[in-house]
Amino acid sequence: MRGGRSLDRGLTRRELWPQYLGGLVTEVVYIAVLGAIAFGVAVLAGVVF
Amino acid sequence: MLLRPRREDHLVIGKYTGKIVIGIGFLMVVPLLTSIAFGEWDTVVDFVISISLCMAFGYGTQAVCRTDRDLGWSHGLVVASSSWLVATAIGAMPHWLSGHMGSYLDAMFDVMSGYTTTGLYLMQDLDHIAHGLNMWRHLLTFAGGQGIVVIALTFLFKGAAGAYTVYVGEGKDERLLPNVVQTARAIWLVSLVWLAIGAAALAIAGLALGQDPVRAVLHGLWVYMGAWSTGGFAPQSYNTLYYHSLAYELIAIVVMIAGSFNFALHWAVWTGNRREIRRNVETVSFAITLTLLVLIATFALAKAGVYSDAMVLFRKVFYQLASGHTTTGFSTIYSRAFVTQWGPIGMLATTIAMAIGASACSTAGGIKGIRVGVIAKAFLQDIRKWVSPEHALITERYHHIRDITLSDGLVRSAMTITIAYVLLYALMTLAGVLYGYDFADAVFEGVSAASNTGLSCGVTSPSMPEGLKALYIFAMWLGRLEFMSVFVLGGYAVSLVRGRR
Repeated sequence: MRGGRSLDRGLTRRELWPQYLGGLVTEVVYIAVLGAIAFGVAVLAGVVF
Repeated sequence: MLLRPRREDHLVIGKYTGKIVIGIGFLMVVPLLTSIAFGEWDTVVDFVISISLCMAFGYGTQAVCRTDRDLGWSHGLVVASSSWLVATAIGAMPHWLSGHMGSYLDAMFDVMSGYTTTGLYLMQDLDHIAHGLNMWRHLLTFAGGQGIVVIALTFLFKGAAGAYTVYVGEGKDERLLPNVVQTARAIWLVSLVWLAIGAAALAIAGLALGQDPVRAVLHGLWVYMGAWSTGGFAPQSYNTLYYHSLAYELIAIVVMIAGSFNFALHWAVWTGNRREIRRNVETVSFAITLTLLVLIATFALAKAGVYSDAMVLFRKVFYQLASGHTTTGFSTIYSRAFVTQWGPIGMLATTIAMAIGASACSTAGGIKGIRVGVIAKAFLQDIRKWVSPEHALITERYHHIRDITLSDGLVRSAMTITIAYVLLYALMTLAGVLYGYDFADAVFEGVSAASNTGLSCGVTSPSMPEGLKALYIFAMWLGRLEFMSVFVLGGYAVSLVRGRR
């Protein structure tokens, strides 16, 4: 794999982009789950107090 | 026995430190062009002077330090720590020339805070600074998050074999790809894709809030840089509270948590290993500690009746704790609200979140999830040993990109750095108390500085004692570089005086 002066050309090949975007969506889902848990905790706390 | 460094050692350290300062000079071209675009001519002059200084220092050092020798391990660590100090001293010039800083020490405080992705600041009248200076503030926190050395690796080192040592010295010790320069480029790829999506989303949210298009784009870009680098700088003095927007807050949370991921994790997930995100010891540890701390703070604040409904409670608690745990330092409450509204339990939960921090080899600071995970696994292993037959062989594994068997060496290494962080937190707390601040305030602010978070309960201000400013600068530097390269720099200085030839 030859390096270019900016981003490596091997890393930016067109066929890799669907995989990259799938990874990005996976990360967003993980964060959304954490947020959903925190929201559930807030609702529960609101009910208790 | 210490060996006194030879002339060749000084030359190789000088040469590479010079290269990194040249890199800082090139970086200043971006705010220079921003100022030109907005016709901020005083700021243009500030940046021309600063760039000239960087180039004079960088090329002057290279001219004096001519050597073909490559970097050894100790050289790399010394370059990593010394270049951050030199970059801070020179990078402070635009801040100081702007007239928005009380002193050069204040300017160095803000720049070290930026490079180390801390986010505490002493700049005065932040709401009225030039666009060029705001661009510089956010660019240096973005550059610091990427790693100044990663930038230099990408553009200046051109595959030098010893470059890996500087990369490690900066607290990033994982190779995403076999070649360290390719690793640096993969880190850029991930960051630039997130930049395009995150900054665009924030700009759209800004437009929806009624910002004019130029302002929406600039704020989107700057808040993205503050979030992704887990730096916490924002263009307004009210930080992200300024926007009063759920959409803005949600996007910022997504970017700052993503920014706190280990780059090796990003790369694994982006190259098809999706399960890594729920198996990795760092994401598991982060999810457990964040959820527990959210639970504690939410119930404490709900019991105290601080916020009116569940939605407000969620927005305030999750935002501040995610910000603290990722060591970003964004806030949507006033600084003193931590003391006057959140009280001891809320402040304690936030302090613990900041102290733990997020992932290693990311833009985040603090002890790091991988060390917390390793120490927790070691505890589990010990408990299993106690409840098992005497001669049973108990092994414990954790998952980080691959399955790793827990060894005494790994646990010792994790404990050593954890103890070093705890001592640093204690030292900063002691300093705060000795300077006359309340204990809770001193712990909160000291941990915030040393873990490179940047949340403030009101201690950090231009009027704080000069000695405390200097100590916080030291803590930010030490915390960001994770001790080792700073200790090696200290050893290098001692060997200059006491080493044998």
